Amino acid sequence: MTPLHFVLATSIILLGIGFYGLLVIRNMLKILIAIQIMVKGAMIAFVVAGGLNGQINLGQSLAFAVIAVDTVVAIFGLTLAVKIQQHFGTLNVDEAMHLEG
Amino acid sequence: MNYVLLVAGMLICALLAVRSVRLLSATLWLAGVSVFTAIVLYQLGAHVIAVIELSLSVGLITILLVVAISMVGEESSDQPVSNRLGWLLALVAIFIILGLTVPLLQSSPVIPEASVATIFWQQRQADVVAQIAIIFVGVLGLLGLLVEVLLPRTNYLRNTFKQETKGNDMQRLSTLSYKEHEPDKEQV
Repeated sequence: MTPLHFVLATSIILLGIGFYGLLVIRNMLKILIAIQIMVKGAMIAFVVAGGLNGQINLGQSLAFAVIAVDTVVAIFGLTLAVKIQQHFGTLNVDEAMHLEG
Repeated sequence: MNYVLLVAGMLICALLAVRSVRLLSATLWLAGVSVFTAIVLYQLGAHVIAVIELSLSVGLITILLVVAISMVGEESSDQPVSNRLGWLLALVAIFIILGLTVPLLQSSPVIPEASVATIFWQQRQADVVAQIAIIFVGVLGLLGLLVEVLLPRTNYLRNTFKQETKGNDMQRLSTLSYKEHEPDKEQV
């Protein structure tokens, strides 16, 4: 097993950990953190796939797009979470779904 | 051995970020995941993306998360429930992705490749345009987050002015300052 295969397996485990967080966690900020972990797994997978095909620079270019989108998603998620907390008084997604404001 | 340590650190940080009770601790563990990710990427030869990952994820996103936590308060955190079904589904997802990925792992001949700058600016121009648009949207979102920091003070000043103008004392309104009209302890 080469280092690339080892890191690829790690990226898939990172995806699994983030997926578990999405399933279990109810706090909006923590859901954002779980999404960040999943995106890191996807980004590593892009770079490793580029390295396996001998095109690591193409993998870096695609990973940069992933980072840009991930950052914007984080900013929007944080803004939404703060707005929802001020509007409903809670960050729990289950409670916020049952409240009317 | 080097990769084993880095990967172990990355996975431990990710698990602690998901399982941590406090929001601030989860944020710091996420920063740890980003640091280990950047080091692994650098070791793999992806130097450009390692630096960008380190600056954006460890710097910008961590700071924004801390700002958001300071605005919503730490008491909003919840205790993650121990969910066996969640672990089971996550394992199923891991095996599905592994099953889809393993058949694709074939060694390809190394071909001469252009630099990152050439690929980014010349071969993937549509990506660049889309990223510029997305970053513009992100700036708008950041402004929305920052408005939440500035808005309480603006609302306080506006309410103070409304109370003062009820008596048609416009002359006094012109001499108002923020310090003069802080709520008295007796009123509170």
